Amino acid sequence: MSGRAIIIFIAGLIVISGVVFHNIEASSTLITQNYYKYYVRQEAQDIAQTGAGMALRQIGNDINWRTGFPLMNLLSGKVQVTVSDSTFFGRKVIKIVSIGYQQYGTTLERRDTCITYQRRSFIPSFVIASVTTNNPVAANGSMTIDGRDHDSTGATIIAGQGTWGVWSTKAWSQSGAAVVGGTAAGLDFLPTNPANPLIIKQNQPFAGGYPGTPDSVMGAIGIGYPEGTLKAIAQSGINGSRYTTNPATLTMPLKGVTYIELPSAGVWTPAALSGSGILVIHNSTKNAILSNPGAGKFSGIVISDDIIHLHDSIVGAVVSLTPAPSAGNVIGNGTGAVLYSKIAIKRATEVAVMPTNGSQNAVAWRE
Amino acid sequence: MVIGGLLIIMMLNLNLNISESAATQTFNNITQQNLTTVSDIVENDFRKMGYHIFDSVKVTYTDTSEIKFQTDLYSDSTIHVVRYYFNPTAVSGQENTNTHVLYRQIDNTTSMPMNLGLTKFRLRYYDGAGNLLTGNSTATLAKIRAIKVAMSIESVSAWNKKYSGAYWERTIKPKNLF
Repeated sequence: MSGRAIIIFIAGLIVISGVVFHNIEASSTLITQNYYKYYVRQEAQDIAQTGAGMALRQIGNDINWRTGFPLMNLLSGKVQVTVSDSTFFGRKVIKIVSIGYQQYGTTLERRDTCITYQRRSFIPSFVIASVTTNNPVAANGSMTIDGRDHDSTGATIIAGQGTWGVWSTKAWSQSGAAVVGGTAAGLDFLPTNPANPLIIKQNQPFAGGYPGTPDSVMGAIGIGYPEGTLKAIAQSGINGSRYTTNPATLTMPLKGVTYIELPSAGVWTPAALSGSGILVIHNSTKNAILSNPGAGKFSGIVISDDIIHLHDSIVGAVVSLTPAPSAGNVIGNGTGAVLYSKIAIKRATEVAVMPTNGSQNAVAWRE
Repeated sequence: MVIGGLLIIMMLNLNLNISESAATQTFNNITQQNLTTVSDIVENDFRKMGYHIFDSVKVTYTDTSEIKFQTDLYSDSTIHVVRYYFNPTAVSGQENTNTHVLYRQIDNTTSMPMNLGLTKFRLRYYDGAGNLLTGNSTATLAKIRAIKVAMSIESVSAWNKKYSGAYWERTIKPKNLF
């Protein structure tokens, strides 16, 4: 082979090698790109989830927060979060849409969306007044029933936001030094004796029938409380919830959903109620009795089949289910008080989440 | 002349080596892309596990090579049963006889085969405390909070009698299971 041929041959090999090197580099680049795209996708997803988590935290601090986050830097990318009231298959929810961006504004931009539906706190549709009953009801002694809207401590009035003092399907009576206040048509009425008739709703018809179970008081299936929900929440232990058939085992303060299921005509006489959440005293025959709870303070909703002589302070609302109370119509004859409080009721509903969907109190996540 | 010959031999050898490297890289690339394709599909479905399901049991069947779960997959209010299953003994029909097919089935429709070189596909199930769960009792299924997915993949064809491979493992915690 001549020297010229060798040079041509080698030159050919160099060209071929160059092409092969180029292919190797291209393959390496593709491998790196494949890895990088995977990484960027994951990053965008992480950013979106973090945005949703931040929004949940904000709502945890302020249940009325709906501001969202404008497009802003987060981690190694950007996030944009919108928050709105919505419904999720009949459940009232707060919808959080979080979009995570990686490589924002470049040809490599990758977005990922995380949608979460957070249970929205609400006033149950059958919590109509400060005291709602399906039976004749009376207040004696120096009991206070106040349907004006109170803050979570019961100390401060939020003007014009309250409801009636008493709502009943049967008759109302008031004696002794018992006082009743409330709000009607946006006007607040101080607790007085006798109460202003505008804030007493007695002998009221109830379209569709008065609710017969705690879950129906909450709004039943239409709002995410099919029968058995409150009991299931209590049994799950979520947010400090408890379920018992022996209330002597309970310790105060109560939290979450406390569900006490008593035998027929069973009576629970706690020394004093304290804590917060939703307190249920119920059985299938609708004659479980909360009797003479004394000198405590409970914040939230009390739903009991039958209530005899409430001496506690309840900041929130009280609902009685029975049409035939076991000891007459006197709901309180001492120093007890029922102070209507929207915020206390809302906070109680906030913690009453379905355990099976309880991730950060979320009803569902879509990602 | 001798030097020229040696030079040619060296160049040929070099060319052979880099050609082999190039082919290997290409196979590696294809294998890795196959892996990310499968993992993307699996992750996308698994993250939707339990969405719009209000029963406590959202995963309805578990095995190390099979899972069935319920979800509103397309967010259209229709609940679907999604099934993934992998038969480690059935042949894939690929040149690489180590590979098998992963199937994805929605409800009772025809299964979608993923014949991309999977050699292993293993599932493990954990509760909220990280304890391994086995069995299909209702109580066990209701406890599932995390699923560890592990898969190995190889190139479906050999290069120089060798298969390129890749491994992927991830613990997925579908939020709707919590």
